[in-house]
Amino acid sequence: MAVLATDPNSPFTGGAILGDRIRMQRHALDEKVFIRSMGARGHLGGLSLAAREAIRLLGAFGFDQVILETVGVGQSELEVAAVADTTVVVLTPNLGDSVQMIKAGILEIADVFAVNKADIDGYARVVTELRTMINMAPKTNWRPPIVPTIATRGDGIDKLWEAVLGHREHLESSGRARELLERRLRDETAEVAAEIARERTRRALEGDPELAERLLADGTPYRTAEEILDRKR
Amino acid sequence: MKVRAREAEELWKEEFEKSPSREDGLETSTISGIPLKPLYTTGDRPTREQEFPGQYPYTRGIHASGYRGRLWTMRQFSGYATAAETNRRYKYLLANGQTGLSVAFDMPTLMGQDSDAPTSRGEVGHCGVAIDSLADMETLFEGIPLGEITTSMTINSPAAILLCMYIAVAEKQGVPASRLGGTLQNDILKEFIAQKEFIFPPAPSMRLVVDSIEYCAREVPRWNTISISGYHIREAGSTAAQELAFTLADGMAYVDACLERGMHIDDFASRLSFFFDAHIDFFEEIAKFRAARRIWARWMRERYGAQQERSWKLRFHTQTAGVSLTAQQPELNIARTAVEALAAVLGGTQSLHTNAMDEVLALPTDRAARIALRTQQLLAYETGVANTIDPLGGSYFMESLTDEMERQAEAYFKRIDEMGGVIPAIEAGFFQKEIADSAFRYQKELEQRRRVMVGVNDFTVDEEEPIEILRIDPKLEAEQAERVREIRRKRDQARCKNALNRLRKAAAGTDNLMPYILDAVREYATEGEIMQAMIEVFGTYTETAVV
Amino acid sequence: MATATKPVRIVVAKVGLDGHDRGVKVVARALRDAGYEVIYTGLRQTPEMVVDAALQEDAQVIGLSIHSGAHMTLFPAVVDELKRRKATDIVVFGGGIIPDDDITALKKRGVAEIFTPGTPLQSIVDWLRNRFPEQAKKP
Repeated sequence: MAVLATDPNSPFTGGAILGDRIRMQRHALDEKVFIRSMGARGHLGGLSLAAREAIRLLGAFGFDQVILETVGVGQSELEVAAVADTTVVVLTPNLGDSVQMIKAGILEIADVFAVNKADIDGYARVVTELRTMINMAPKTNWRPPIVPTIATRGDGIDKLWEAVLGHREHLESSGRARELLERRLRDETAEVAAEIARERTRRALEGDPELAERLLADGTPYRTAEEILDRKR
Repeated sequence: MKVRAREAEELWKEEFEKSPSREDGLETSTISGIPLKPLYTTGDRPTREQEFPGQYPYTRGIHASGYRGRLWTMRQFSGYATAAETNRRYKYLLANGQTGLSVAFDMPTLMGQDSDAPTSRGEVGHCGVAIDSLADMETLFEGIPLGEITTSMTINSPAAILLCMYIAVAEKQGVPASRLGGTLQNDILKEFIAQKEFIFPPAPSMRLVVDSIEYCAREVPRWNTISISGYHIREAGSTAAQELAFTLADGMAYVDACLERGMHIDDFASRLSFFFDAHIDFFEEIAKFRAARRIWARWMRERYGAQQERSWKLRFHTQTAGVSLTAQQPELNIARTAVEALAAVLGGTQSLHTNAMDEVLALPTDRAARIALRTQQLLAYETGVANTIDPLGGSYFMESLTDEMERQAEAYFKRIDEMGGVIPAIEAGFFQKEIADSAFRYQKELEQRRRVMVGVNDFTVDEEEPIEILRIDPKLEAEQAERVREIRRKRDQARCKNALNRLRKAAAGTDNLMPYILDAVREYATEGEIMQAMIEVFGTYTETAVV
Repeated sequence: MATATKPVRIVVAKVGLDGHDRGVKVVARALRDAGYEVIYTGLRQTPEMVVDAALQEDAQVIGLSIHSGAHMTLFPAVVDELKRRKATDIVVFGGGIIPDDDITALKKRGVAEIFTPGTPLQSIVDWLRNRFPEQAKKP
């Protein structure tokens, strides 16, 4: 199993403290577990730009499962849903802002909900809220299960894994897996294309002072961009 | 008269504003960041009634007679290499006028593992003495009458085991447990918060602490069962107020745990003791000690309803600040330590350890250890500071700073309460984050030269004279490992195994574990084996680190 | 937003049994603020664990901290483990309560630099900038 854990970089210095390994000490020196910490390096969406390629590489190396951990959740950190087969959203009773998070699009991306710290006050309230939200959502042929966990004791982890495998089966049997794969490849191609275009543009402007001068004088980014991309490479 | 005083104050203010100020860019707040006024006057003095030493709330000291009745105990923390070497150092210190022993254990002992464990490599005998079994403990106290001295043992996760070893050595000397006096650090909460020498998860760790408190209340009544420690919290980088608040909050958590066990507050409260740091910011430290006594007295009497006066009194040991010492121009550490020790004495400490000048480089040499002890003797017998009780009491500045300390501590108690108490706050990383933030802030201030460490970021010298340091013979590790293997071969295997099995079974139940541990110790089960038996039941703890 | 220069990655670890993590945390924060990606592995790391983490994390540098006096055993053990795993391109530096004579000995054994108490954070950063100049230009 491989784990890709993402933490944010400072927008000012580019530096980061990547501290996720500490929580996986039990698997240090475990040859079957590979852990790689990634800085988001300014990429929005909650993952590192290199995450997709890293996953492909890990697959080629023979890792059957890859766990992707994001920097956290908010409206702009939902990229994981586009990259992962199964998205698990972990909530805790004492987060306090759970309802708000659900509003912020978390419900739409979750294939499985884990409610951690199930042994503390407020657990029942979070589950009730989640159920209501799921019931109000448009019907699809997958209803995200809610799994209680107590991570410090390892309680509920088996059930959580079963839920993940259950979702996997659903993906296969419903043909959704193929759809996802197709959409993912298209999305990624578009992103790579955009990255290539950005790089070409940057280089063109650096290597052609006349063009850069004209851009500044005319203030016409659209026309300049088209001109650059139309050029023969 | 009053009018004239106000006029005088106005006049002073005017003069002060007009005078040029030093432009060295240095902070004028305390080292913990409490802003200070250039002058304190009657207006800053709290309006409470006059306080007296030996009277509630003990701001001015717990004894009516202060140091006129009895000086503080000069208790130098020491231990290195093997039990035999340390035994020699103890006899040297006692011969030089030290009045109590204080044992420093090496890392494998502190972490509950034997000297021949793979992860002990390179660590045996380095920052304290290596103790693997009762046999080592017998050597450590050979020729030292345990009925006549008091001993402090700095150990936490395996504290119960080392206390049992001490009791067993005393038995062999013919000294009953009821006559033993001393202190066990046994403060697991500050390990989770600051020093990080934890082994079991919080719940079984707390059970062991309460087991030892309960057992000692019955069997070893003169023993201070726990030394609730701010020292390590401070050394990890906290401010003075954080040290004060987190330590007293830990104290209350232990009280809560004992009450939950069904003990009565007055049966154990007087055996709880405290351990603070004496840092370099002189007045702030004294204020901290004074505030600690007042807060504890109030909480014990008002919140916990303790009836006996001795339950209200906060007694504490002090050590001068290791982190204030510098590797550069190490002789300066003697001066630093003297100032810090003076703060501890003016703050009314019950016992004191003064650091040796070379402790920032290695364990102290005999010479450095002697100078450190002499510093205390100099304060006690030469300077005259012990003649007047709480000499700073009533000072506008000191009383105001004491109140400020108290106010900041109470604010922290409230926050900790809101988080559900000390253990949930530990699990959320609250203390760890607060401490790391303070440490980083201070380091930044040094880097920006808003604070000075003499010899480090100012007044430096190009060439340092080398000073003599203590070396631990690398052969010692193999010898100690062989010694523990020999103990394992020689003992009565069946009896030892049975004792460990009984302990394991008891750990899974709810019995007080002390008698079971004592039995295993008597059979020469090693520290590592006893810990392992408990780990099998309790498991181990990994922290969620906060950077 | 993606920066053109790749941040230097540093595995920062506490080896040995002691739990004094004040220094290591302060240094980790300072390195982050200087633009490095710091992978903090926590307490009580064995040399094998440290090297394994550095390999998995593709780190160029390992920073070790120790306060228990076991540096003469554990620092060289990290260097040896790097040799065994054929990863001698990874630079090792360390900090802690380490006497001068030991510093000389450790450098001979392949530890690139040792920082003792009182070292300004800036000197650690400067040393790294010298060692990895491509990082020195700010993104």
